[in-house]
Amino acid sequence: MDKDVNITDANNSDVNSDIKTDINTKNNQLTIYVDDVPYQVADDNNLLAAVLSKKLDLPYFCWHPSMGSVGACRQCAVTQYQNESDTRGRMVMSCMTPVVDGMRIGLKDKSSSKFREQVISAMMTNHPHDCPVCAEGGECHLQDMTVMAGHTSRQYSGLKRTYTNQNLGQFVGHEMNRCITCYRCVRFYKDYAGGTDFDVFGSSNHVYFGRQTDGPLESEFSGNLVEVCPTGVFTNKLFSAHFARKWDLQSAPSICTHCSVGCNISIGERYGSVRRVMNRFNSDINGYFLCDRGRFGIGFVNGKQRIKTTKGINAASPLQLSVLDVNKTLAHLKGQRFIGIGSARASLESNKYLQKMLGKDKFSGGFSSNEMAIVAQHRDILSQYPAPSLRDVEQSDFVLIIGEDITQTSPRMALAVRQTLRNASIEKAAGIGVKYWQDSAVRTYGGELLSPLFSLNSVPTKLDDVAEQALILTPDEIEHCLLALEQQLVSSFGLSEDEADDDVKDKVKVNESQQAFITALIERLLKAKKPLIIGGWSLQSASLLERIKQLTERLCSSEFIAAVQLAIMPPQCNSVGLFSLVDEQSLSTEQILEQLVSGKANSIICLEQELAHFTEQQIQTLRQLTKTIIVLDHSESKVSSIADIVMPVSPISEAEGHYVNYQGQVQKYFQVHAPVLPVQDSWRWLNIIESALFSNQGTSQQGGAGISSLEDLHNYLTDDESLSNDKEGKTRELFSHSKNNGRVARQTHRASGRTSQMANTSVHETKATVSNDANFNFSMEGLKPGTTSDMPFSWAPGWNSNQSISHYQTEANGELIEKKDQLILVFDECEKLLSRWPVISPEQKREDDKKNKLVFVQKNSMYQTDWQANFNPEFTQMFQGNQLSVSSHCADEQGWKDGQYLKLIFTSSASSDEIFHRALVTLHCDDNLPDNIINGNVFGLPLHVTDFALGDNNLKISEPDDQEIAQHQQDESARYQQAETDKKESLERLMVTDHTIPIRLVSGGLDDV
Amino acid sequence: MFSQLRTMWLVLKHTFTKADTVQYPEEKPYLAPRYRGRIVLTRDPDGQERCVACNLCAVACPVDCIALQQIIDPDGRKRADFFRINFSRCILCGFCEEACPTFAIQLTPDVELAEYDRQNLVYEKEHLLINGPGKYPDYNFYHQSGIAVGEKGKGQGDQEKPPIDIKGLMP
Repeated sequence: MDKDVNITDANNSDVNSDIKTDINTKNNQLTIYVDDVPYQVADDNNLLAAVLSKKLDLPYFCWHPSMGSVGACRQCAVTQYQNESDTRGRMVMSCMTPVVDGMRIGLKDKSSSKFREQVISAMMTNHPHDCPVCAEGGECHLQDMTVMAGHTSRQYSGLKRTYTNQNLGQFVGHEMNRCITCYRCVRFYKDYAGGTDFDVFGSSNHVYFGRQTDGPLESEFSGNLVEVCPTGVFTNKLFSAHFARKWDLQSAPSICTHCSVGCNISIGERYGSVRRVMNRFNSDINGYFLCDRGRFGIGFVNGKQRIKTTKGINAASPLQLSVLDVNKTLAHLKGQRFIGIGSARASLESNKYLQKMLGKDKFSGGFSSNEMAIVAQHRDILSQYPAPSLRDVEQSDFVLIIGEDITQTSPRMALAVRQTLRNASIEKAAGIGVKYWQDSAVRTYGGELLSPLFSLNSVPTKLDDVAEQALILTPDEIEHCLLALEQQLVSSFGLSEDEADDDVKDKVKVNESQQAFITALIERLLKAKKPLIIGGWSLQSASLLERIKQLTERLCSSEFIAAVQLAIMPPQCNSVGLFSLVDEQSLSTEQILEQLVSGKANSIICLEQELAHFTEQQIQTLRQLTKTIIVLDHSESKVSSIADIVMPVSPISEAEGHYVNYQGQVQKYFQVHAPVLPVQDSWRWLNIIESALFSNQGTSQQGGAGISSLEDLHNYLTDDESLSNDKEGKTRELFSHSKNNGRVARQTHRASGRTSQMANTSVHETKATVSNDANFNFSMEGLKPGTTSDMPFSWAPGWNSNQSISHYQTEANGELIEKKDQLILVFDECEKLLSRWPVISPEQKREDDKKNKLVFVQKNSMYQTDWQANFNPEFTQMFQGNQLSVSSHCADEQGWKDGQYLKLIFTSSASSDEIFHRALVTLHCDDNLPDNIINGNVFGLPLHVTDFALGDNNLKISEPDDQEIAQHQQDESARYQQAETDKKESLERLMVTDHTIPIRLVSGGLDDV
Repeated sequence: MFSQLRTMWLVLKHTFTKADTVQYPEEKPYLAPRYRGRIVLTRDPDGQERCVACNLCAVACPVDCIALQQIIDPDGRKRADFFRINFSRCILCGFCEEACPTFAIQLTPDVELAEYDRQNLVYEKEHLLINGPGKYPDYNFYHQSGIAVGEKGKGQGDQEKPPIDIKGLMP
């Protein structure tokens, strides 16, 4: 009972959640008695979830808070009593038992305790003696549950069952001997994530979980098996290669940098190098699961491409670079006219600092003109339609995806959409009284029933198999189809009368399949209670976004259709943060080149900006036009190679700042470990640049003198205005918002080796690095992780695995107890930006359309779309080689054969001299494609350039000669070999760094030591 | 009076008893084989390193004086890339030996660990590793565990059935 009182007390401080709790207690809380102690629990869940939500210890395996119950493992048995006088009771599986008011159960009674102990001991008859060599040891749910159930030694003296393992690819290791057949893996992989290449085989004591044959797991979410598996059957191969126990990792809460969803992750470090990424629970975004790009893509911070020294700056002392050295170098540059280019992977603060330092008219987000138009549309959309969180997405009952292959670009969103589709069967099951958590019952009764998903894409996507209708159209046809949809909605429901008349005049005609699509869509839309539209930047079309916006406007103005939610997925982790700073004065990359030509500017500062969409020629032009190029980045790029001055900045694991996800939600990431100087946060470099170059100019009076922490910087930036262009100035409170109640320890209380890890260099131990932020310590001292919503790692007494998170949630799969309010940017209207960057109207485009052309659409692969993730050699190896997919009819027409090589040359449509990219591809016939689309999966094709079409003079396809083919094949195998060597070298490098752990007394900048 | 005499008698009696003091270091006292002195890393009966770098000794160590890093050999065997004990911190409590699941780390009756320079008390793996199995001559961890290592394949360990034929039809 005490615990209840505490929880309510904690909530009293927060008015909002107080009201929520009140409603809960009134409406759907009921009382159960556990060992005669009364507890208030939620009424819609099962007994196991209820018991766990009260932080009581009850072992379980097959139940998962977000996958529900199947009752397979028999581990969570409890005794249920009829009434107070019943002393015998009967055994029930708590995960399969709904809670009933006044229900009495026993956890500590002899019979159920004994039963649970026996279940574990049965599992242990075959479990190998592997813990010392198992990567799961120390965070193993099976270990925890064995201790909890009280099983100590194996009584069975027979032989142990063994299995052979499979090679499941680069990421996930397989050790079937350890399996306890809880079925969680297959339930996640097949049922939850929709994977098709993983299953359960055999029966009784021979059950086997794996693929039909060896081979890489195809699902984008295979990495979750590592966390879903209660024991060590599935392990993280990259982590195992350079392994550390969970208790030794120094962790910090972080945000995934690989797409715009903004999943919460926890990065672990040991001996000065980053080891792995684990999921960090956030009820609104990623919940319990991450995608493979997020989980395995962290390797770039340890890559050989990392910039670790300065270029173009002379240090007075060879030992250490000082601020004075940098100032001396920069002094020569005073008076040059700089333009600053920010980026969508630099923090909100750094971008803002750059903008403030140089002035709004000298700042660019690194967007091309076309992208600026997209930015304007996206800003406008966000100002009118706040995007739903993934939790909201999962509660929708109708999804329309337009022009975005979300499985590849924002995979976690695709996983959420898959759960959305289950809502129909959950509702159907609810009709006969089957609760949503009765996983197998719901799936059996619901059968194939799915909520409607409609997909309008230019590439075949992995969600097509669960879509009610999926059309593959050219980008122009998609817009055309949406226009037709809009008009038909208008004409059939008489929406917004006045405008309708104009539109009907030139009524858009669509072909049969598109008409069928539209008719089915309208029918489903009318029944939907929470419809959702998802779009994105992939097709690089501002007019498409405008069309989606207008469609949403129409739908929202209709009384027949429920309020529509709209989510637009930008490409990068801080895209929204970056364009919250962009206004009508900001420059596009084209304008930067113009200004350089005209002499208005003569130097540039690139802030973590690789200028990915510049061709080699443009990079050369840039070099010729500029006096000085200053690059601040963590990895080598084509810009850093031509730069005069390179300043090494810290990547995600060594930096702190804020990222803004697709919704506009501002989230903070923290330093996992202090960087080795001269690597430091990009804002620290900007601070030096400002004081050296811009301190006397009128625009920024004092310069940023005395800024030594991110909080100082934040105060400086928000002195006169808000950190971003959000309407309510919420970002002003960012720091008071993200403050903990005290310093939380980054290390676990069991972290080992402190007096020995550096003893090879000196036997005298150094002090722990002093942390610059007031939230976390770089040591094992401090508050425990659960005292903040930004948990560096999850641990509770007796619960070493990530499943300990249930101790910090209000209820199973519920919010964190310490959850802070979401901080979501609210955008104001941006008419100026819209008029500055208007959409090139589709009518104009369609006029130049030639009917019989073949439109090229790049098919993004999850492992190639993110620049940073590309530095992982494993990801390079996941790439299957350049491919071109066409329908077989189209191939016949062109005289191409399946499997042959083709040469592609992408040029600018203005002049065929300007070549964007050349590639040799293998042709692959895919009859899902219509005849007028060719899909390419071409490595290294700049993602920002689109609109290629055969017949538009900007794409040439020819047959390569034998020499070119031979060269290509050689290159391909060399690429694979190179990745293999990179992997080995990377590991060797890391093993060396283990011996030379850098000593930092303070985690600050250059002169802080 | 009597008690004074008795005291004198007792004191004088000691003049003729054998002294407990030994002439260390010329003469060494007997230390039992299980005495807790200098720490060593032992080997399997077949001469391979026993330590699998599981980190249990490090986490058990109350003074945190053990640091190591795991590495996986091409044959699947795990061992320590480096294994370092800072004997200037070590309190010879023997928790590491108790924690070790493979009998790799063992304490020996050698207590002569004095050095003039503290740095010399930092022992790396090459200083710790001995050429024998120590107190447990027969134990071989990899024969007990379920993973395949080098020549020992799946189902070839002690206490193991041969691997299941997953394509078989029998239940």
